[in-house]
Order: sequence, then C-alpha cells, then structure tokens
Amino acid sequence: MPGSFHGISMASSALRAFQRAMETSGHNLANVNTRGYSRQRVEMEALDPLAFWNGAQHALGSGVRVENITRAREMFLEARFHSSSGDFNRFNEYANGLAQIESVYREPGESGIGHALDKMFDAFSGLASNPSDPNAKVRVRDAASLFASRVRTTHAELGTFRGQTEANVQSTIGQINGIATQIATLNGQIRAAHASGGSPNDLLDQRDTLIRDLSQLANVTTTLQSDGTFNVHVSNFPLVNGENTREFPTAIDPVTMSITDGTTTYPVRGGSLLGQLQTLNRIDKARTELDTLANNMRAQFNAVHQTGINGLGNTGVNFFNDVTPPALPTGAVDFDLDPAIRLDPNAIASGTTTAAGDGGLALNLSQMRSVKLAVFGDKTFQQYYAGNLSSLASEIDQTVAQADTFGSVLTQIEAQAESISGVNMDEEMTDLMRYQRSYQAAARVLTIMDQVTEDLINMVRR
Amino acid sequence: MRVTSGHIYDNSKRNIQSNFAEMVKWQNQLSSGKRVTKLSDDAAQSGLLLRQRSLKSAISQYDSNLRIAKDYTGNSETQLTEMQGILRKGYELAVQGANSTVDQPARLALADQVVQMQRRLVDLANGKGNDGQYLFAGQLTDTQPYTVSGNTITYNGDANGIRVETSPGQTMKVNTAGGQDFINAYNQLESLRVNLIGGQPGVISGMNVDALKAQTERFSQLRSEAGIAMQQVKDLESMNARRMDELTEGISAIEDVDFADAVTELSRAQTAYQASLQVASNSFNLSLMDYLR
Repeated sequence: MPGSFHGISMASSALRAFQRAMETSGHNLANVNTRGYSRQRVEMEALDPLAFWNGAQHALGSGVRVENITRAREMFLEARFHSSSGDFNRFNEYANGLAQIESVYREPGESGIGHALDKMFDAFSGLASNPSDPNAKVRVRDAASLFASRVRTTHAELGTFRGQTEANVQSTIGQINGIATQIATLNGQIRAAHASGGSPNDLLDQRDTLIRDLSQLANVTTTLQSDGTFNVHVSNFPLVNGENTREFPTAIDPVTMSITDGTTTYPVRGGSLLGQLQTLNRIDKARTELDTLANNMRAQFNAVHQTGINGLGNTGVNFFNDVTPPALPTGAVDFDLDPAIRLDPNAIASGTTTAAGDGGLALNLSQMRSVKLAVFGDKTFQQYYAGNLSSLASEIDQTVAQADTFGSVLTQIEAQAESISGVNMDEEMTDLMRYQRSYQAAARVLTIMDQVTEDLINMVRR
Repeated sequence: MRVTSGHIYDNSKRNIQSNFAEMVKWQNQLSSGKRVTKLSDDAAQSGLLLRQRSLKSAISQYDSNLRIAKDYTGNSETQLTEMQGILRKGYELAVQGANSTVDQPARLALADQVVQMQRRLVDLANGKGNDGQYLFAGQLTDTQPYTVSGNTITYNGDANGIRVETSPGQTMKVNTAGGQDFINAYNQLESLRVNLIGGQPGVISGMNVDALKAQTERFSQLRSEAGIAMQQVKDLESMNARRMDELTEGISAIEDVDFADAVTELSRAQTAYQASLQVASNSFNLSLMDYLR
C-alpha cells in the first residue's frame, strides 16, 4: 500500500518536471539568435509505479520525471552541409580571385594592353605611310613604350596579387589550426560529460558549429568515437585526434593544388583553401601568357628591325630589349624598348635603305598585326591576347554560375537544418503556456493532497 | 516543413538584399550607360568585342594614313596640272616660233619666255608636300630631286614608290615618279629655246612642235593618274567611314545599355524590392505575443 504522503511527492515530481520544461523553453528563447544552436526538448517519462496491491493487479502511478533533455539535430544533414559548404566556398573564393585577375587587365577600354598593342601597330602604319615625318618615329617609340610598360605593370600587378593570395592561404591555414585547437578542447569537455552519462547539448552545438566553420575552409571528414569525441581529417590530413591536434602543413603546391608536410602530399579537394590554390594557379598561367606575349614580340620585332638601317645609320639594332642567346629571354618582367631607341627615336629603322622615304620595314612591322604565329596556335598577337582574356571571362562566368548553384544548394540544406534545429518563438511561447498551466494544475493537486492530509491529521487530534 | 523565427528573419534579409542588389545593378547600368564594364559581364561576346575594338583602332589609323595619301596625290596633281599648262604654253610658243613670218627679235622674246617656263618647271619638279618632303624624288624625300647646272638637268632621286597602308594588308602607291618624264620635258623646252635663239623655224616646226605636243599629252596622262589616285583615296575614305560606323554600332550593341530594356528592368526590380520590404515589415509584426495578456 502506498504511504499517506504519496500524493504530495507525486505532485512535487510534476512541479519539478514542469519547472525544467519551462526553463528549457526559456533557454531556447534566449538562444533564438545564437548561431549553430539546436533547440532542446525535455523528454518526460512516467515514474515506475511505486506500489501494487490486490495481488499486484493494480499499480499506482507515482508521478513524472525528466528522462532526458535532447537537442533537435539531424547529423545526416551535417555531412551534406559540409560537402556543399566546401564546394560553395571553393567556387566563391575562386570566382573572387578570377574577378581580381580580370580587373588587373582593365579591359575593355583604352587603358589595357590590347589598346596599347593596337596603337603600336597603328604608329608603325603611320611611320610606314609617312617615313619622312620626324614625329612618326616619336609616335612609334611612345606607343611601343606604352605597350611595353602596360605588359610590365600588368605582370607586376599580377605578382602583387599572387603575394596577397599566398598570404591569404597562410591565414586560412592559421584559421584551420585555430579551429582545430578549439575542437580538441571541446572534445575533452565532451568526453568528461559523456563519461558521467550526460548529454552536453550546448557543447555539442559549439563543436558542430566549429566543424561547419572548418568545412568552409577545406574538405572535412569527421568520425565519431565511442567516447563522444570527434576525429577530424582535413584534406585527409589527421588534424584532430581526441584532445590532440597536429599542425596543418604550410607548404603548398599550386600546380597539384595540394599541401605537403615533407613526406606526404595531401590534395586539397574543397573549401576556400582550394579556391585560393586555384587562384594562385590561374595567376601563374596569366603571367606565363604575358611572358609568352613579350618574348614573341621581342623575337618577331627584333628579327625584322635588325635588317633595317635606322636614322643614325646603324643596322642590326633591336627594337625591344633582348638578351644574347643562349641566355633565355626574360619574359614580361623587364619588357621594354631597346635602350638605344628609348634614348633616341631616330634609332628606329623605317626601311632597309638610307632613303628618307623608305617605309618598307615599318610596313612589314605594321603588317605583323595580321601575322598568325604557330606558337600562339595560329593566332595573331592581338588574337592571342584577346583569346586569353576571353577564356578568362568565360571561366569567370562558369565559376560564378557554379558558386551560385552550390550557394542555393547550401541555402536549401541550411533551411532544412534550420527547420529541424531552429527555434520558433511562437512554439516556445505555446510550450511555456502549456507547462505553466500544467504547473498550475500540479500545484492544485499538491494543495488538494495537502488538505486531505490536513483533514486526516485534524481527525486524529479530535 | 517546420518554419522557425530565425528562418523568417534570415530569408527576409536575403531576399531584401538580393532584390536591392538587382535594383542597384540596373541603376548602375542606366546611370553609366554601360552594360559591359568588364569582359565577364558578357563572356560570350568578349572575343568579338575585343576584335571589333582592335579593328576600329586600325581603321582610324588607316584614315589618318589616307590623309597622308591625300596630301601626296593632291599636291602632286596640282603641280602636274601646272606643269602640263607650261608645256601647252611651250607648244603654243613653238607654233608661234615655227611661223616664218615672225621676225628674229620676236623669237628672242619668245626664247626669254621659255627660260622663265623652264625655271618654273624645275621649281615645280622640286615641289614639296605638307611635311616638307620632296614629292617627285621617289623615296629620297629629303634630297632635292632636280638640279640644273648650265643647261643640263640631273635627277637625284630614286625610282622607288611611296606606299601608304590603307587597309589590313593593302597598300597604295601615292607618289608620281617624275624621273625621266620631267627631264624630257625640260630638255624639249631647252631644245625649243636653242632653236628660237638660233632662228630655225623649220626645225621648230619639224621637231619641237610635235615633241612639245607629245609632252603635253604625257603630262596630261601623269596628271590623270594622280587624279585617279585621289579618287581612290576618297573612295577608301568613305569605305572606312562606313566600316567605322558599323564597328561603332557593333561595339555599342555589346557595351552599351539598351535604355528601354533597362528602364523596364529597373522598375520591375524596384517593385520587387518594395514588395520584399512590405512583406518583411508585415510578417515581423505578427507574433503569438500580440494575443497573450
């Protein structure tokens, strides 16, 4: 038989449980704006029946207890989030890098290499048509000098951007290491809580948020251990193992888009780190294209110009600065006019004779405009340059489109996750009222039980 | 699907942001007048755009080359016309001198006129273009082409042509090679002068009259060649102007904003932006808390 105070203890168990439930709703409402927070739910269960009588036929309930406080989170969505977030951030970062590369060229317009190239050919055409005009040579020198300086500065600006991107890569690696340390610390706290049988919801949320952050930087895989800790691999590199971390390697290779710790190479497969490595790779390609342009310009123009007799009576003069073979041509970095021409425009040859009206050589150089070179894949100088830029433009187009696609995939997954884990204020308000009412009812039960007990005591006194 | 409070706020924020960005995009296009400010704005047509821009630059250079051609052919034509006039006048003087009724003092007076004409002829043959270059010296444009010593004239130029680039891969010869023609003309006048002074109407009528007539015709031919070249320059100029218009139009079609289209798009974007603001401000006001005491 149950004791006389059974009703009181039952009512007080209900009061305790409803109080927890109201506190949990309050906690949810407090964290309605917390990033990565999962709403929590109080799971209640009836207490084991306390007493049986009538040959154990009747069991009397003994109240309620909070069985667990769970967090609403779908771990399957997390994995999808990590992979989409890696893809989105990779394409987004690369699209930004490409846009920066494009802006260096200042095309279309009159401040780019293309316009200067046209103007140089135009100046040669003018010289060919009027070799006796002394200003024609000055115009050729100025136009060619402008062209060379634009090739040089574009190359240099790409170099500056490469330096910035390398710094960004190192800062990303720094962030990866920082997050790794935080995950390891949380792993320790979670392991302790796990050992004592608890479910540290808020710590789990924090760790999930950190892994989400990590998935923006590089491709991440996690494995849940039996003690509740996560082992984290970034680009196959074992970054976090329980409470221990390893420093993410800082040596990068933009060609294979991987990182290496000296013995093993870890190919990067996603995240902004991959976008940054791709950007580095693309900058190198753009700079090589400028080198090719400059070196072929030297080879073609110098070969023709050397056959001419210039205004000073000299022959064999280079038009662009060049090294003597077998030294290799130096590319765009120091691309400029030959020092003699830089000094005196009269050092430009317009013809192969000393006749003042001989514009034959200038005409040949002007018509170089439409000469297709095998080394450019059967393209003229202008076509080669324009072709490079137009493939850059379509690469931007595609990358932005891919970033958009993965961006909306990511938004969808976020919405699904939010739909499971997010806090709805109306819902919490409803729960609050429900538990408030329940609490009032339980309090009522307690009052009644108290009165019954009081009646009994009074009866005995009488 | 369960909708959460955060979701509503985030979504509204995202939609307002994207509608605002769309509106600003059209505003920018309208205020700048440019649809393409970087190549990736229209990647598909970027190659065409760069090609057209390059061609346009070349054509404007060909146009200024044609001005040089015009200078050469125009000046040459003027000089040749005057030379032709001198030779026709020479022919008329020869006809007069061939008349046996003309007395010797009159012939000497004619001979004086011939001397003046010879001087003028040499001056014209040493004529210069707008840049001070000799027109009839071939490529030796800085060398005086005709010098006279005593009664002998010498050509110091060469036989090479001045070629002007007029379109991709095409050139046009713009100078008239004077050379032997000018020397012949000078020598015929000289012969007339000698015969006038020598008082030989028979030789004049037998030789000089016909020879000077032939010279006049030869110069008429040279002059019309220069005239044809002038016409050619004009044709090329109008062809370039047409091509230039086409290219300007082509570039503008890619680079510039279609205003009617952009204005429509802008007002659509503005409506969408206003709608998203309106919806957001309405939905933020709704809450269960409004109905609780």
